[in-house]
Amino acid sequence: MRYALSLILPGLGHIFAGFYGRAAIFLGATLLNGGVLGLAVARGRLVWLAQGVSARMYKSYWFSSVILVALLGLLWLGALWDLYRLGRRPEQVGQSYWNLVGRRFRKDPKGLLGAGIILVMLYLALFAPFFARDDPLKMDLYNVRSPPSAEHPFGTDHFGRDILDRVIYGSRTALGIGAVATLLNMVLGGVLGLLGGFYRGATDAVIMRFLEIINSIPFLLFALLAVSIFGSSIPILIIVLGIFGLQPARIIRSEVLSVREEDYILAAKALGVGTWRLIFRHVFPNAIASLLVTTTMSIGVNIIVVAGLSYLGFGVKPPTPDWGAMLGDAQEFFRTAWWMAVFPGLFIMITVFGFNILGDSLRDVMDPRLK
Amino acid sequence: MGKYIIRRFLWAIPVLLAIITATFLLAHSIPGGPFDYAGEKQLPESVRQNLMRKYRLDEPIYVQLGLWIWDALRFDFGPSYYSRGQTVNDILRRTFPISAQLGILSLLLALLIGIPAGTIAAVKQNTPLDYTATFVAILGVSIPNMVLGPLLIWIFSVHLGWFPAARWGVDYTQLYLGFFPPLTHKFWSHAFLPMITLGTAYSASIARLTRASLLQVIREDYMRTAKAKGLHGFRVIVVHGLRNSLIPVATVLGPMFAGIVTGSLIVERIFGIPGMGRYFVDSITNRDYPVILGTTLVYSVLLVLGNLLVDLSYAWLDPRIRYD
Repeated sequence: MRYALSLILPGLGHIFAGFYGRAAIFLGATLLNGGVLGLAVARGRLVWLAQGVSARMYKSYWFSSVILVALLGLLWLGALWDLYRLGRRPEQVGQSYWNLVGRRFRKDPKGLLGAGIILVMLYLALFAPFFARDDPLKMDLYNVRSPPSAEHPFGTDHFGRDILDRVIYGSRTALGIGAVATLLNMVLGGVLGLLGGFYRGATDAVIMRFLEIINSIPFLLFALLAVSIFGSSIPILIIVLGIFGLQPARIIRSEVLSVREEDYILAAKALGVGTWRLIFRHVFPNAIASLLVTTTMSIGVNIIVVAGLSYLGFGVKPPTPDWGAMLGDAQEFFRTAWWMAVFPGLFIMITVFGFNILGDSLRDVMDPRLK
Repeated sequence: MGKYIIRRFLWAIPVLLAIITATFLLAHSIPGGPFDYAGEKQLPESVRQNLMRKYRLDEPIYVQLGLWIWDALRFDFGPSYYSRGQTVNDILRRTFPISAQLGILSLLLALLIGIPAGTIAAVKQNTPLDYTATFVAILGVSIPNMVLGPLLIWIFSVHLGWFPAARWGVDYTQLYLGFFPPLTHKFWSHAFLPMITLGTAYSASIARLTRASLLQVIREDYMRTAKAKGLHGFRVIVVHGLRNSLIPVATVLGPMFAGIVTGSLIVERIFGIPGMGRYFVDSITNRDYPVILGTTLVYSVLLVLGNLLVDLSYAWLDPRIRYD
């Protein structure tokens, strides 16, 4: 019965089975994604309904539509799987460390605010073509630098492009580059930190010296040089940011160093546990709290750095909507057209604020010493 | 201690060599050369080749690198290719003091606001004062320079007209030269907005760190001892607590130093300050290799020194830490 209900709408099955908290989450997610779907259908922007769009916008529609369908599918499957899992081990429900973290997180207004901001920005980025009113590159040279009005709520820029639409699309480069670069930081830093912490000795010394050199390099100078050589394509920006933000290496290394002396590691070794299993089952879970906090915060930092590069004209290339580049364009017209600078600036600030405040809250919530 | 310092200085040499080599190779691999254009016009091939020969740019790259390092050891960074008639030494002598003033003032501002704010927030933990301070601090960390700078100009220069929007050291070149600026009204009115722009984010993160680590220190036994022997509350916090809680703050001063260097590129552009950062950005566009290398070297030396100072300050803050 519960599975049948869950098939009708994710979350209904949970209500039937008595898991009200989880039901609220699933129903909320369904409502949110359903709302986006409704908006897309009403505007005729699902790629399968859209007609007479340019090739560039078609790609954009296609991306958002596929993501939306995939998300909805995942939601249905996720609800079923969750019900099945809950049914199998009812006595363990709500007992894990993550359940504890979740309960604490729900009571923390800071974290909820941060998560809310990030969710909104994420949806703006993923479904930009559904939310935006028009093509962000469409120029209107009779309507240049016009102040905010009913037709253009955020005004227009020096080519008469609508700033609201550009700001919505701009979340794509900001979040995309910020997130992927941070992922690269984590992978590179994680590998270096694990190697250094586990093999100690010469390997560790070499890695630490390497990190010191990276730390002594004026980052932005090198970023500017690298971008001038390889061109400022988005993959290059991601690689440059990924190589220079290796702070996770230090965190993982110190965590490995402190954990590897513990008795349970010795016990695991005595049982003949292999190195990789040791790392992933015994060392990693100890480092995950500090890693999550660093990840969240460094997405914010990377967003600021990309915006800085774009502001200087070395980042995301001109026609692509990007918050930093929009600020750079606005510099020249600053005294007459404040809206060109204020709105992209506000979005950068709110997004980074969201990541910082979420990281701050995660640090409090995930600290196992505070019960 | 002495041995440690010497070892650190010796280690700085290969680090700087590595950075310089990397910069040199990177700078020379930017497509195009310094003498491709004169203004908008393309230079004739023969002229270009003569210029290349004059500046020894036709030699193999390792010879050029060796020559540059040899000159740099004697503090001669060569002529600028773009600003004709000026050497890199001239440019650095003119622009470095301005950048240094901006950086030092912002760092001081960050410490002067950040540490007291963090202390107050920690002492008044979980009061509205604390929540406000924490909120403002997170907000401060989240405002990038290129958002805050224009905003400040818009409010204080365009609307209120309290401060000049730009032209630091442009009208009064004579006044602003020299490492120690005359602390006149003119100087401060030019320095105020850039200083706030660059310093805000750092004062915010210093405040957060101070608060977090002071909260841990307050729970220590020696704090209770200090209170128990009847010391004044202020003295307990500032003398016994604050000094111990500044170690994490000292840790981030190193990266922060780097951040100030980076931030100055952007702040100098916002406020039109003729400092080193602006020259660096221009020199990349102009393929002005000696200026790229000279500025990078100065920045790297500063960073290495900054990291060293940070490490030494641990020993001063926490006598238990020893280097040998």
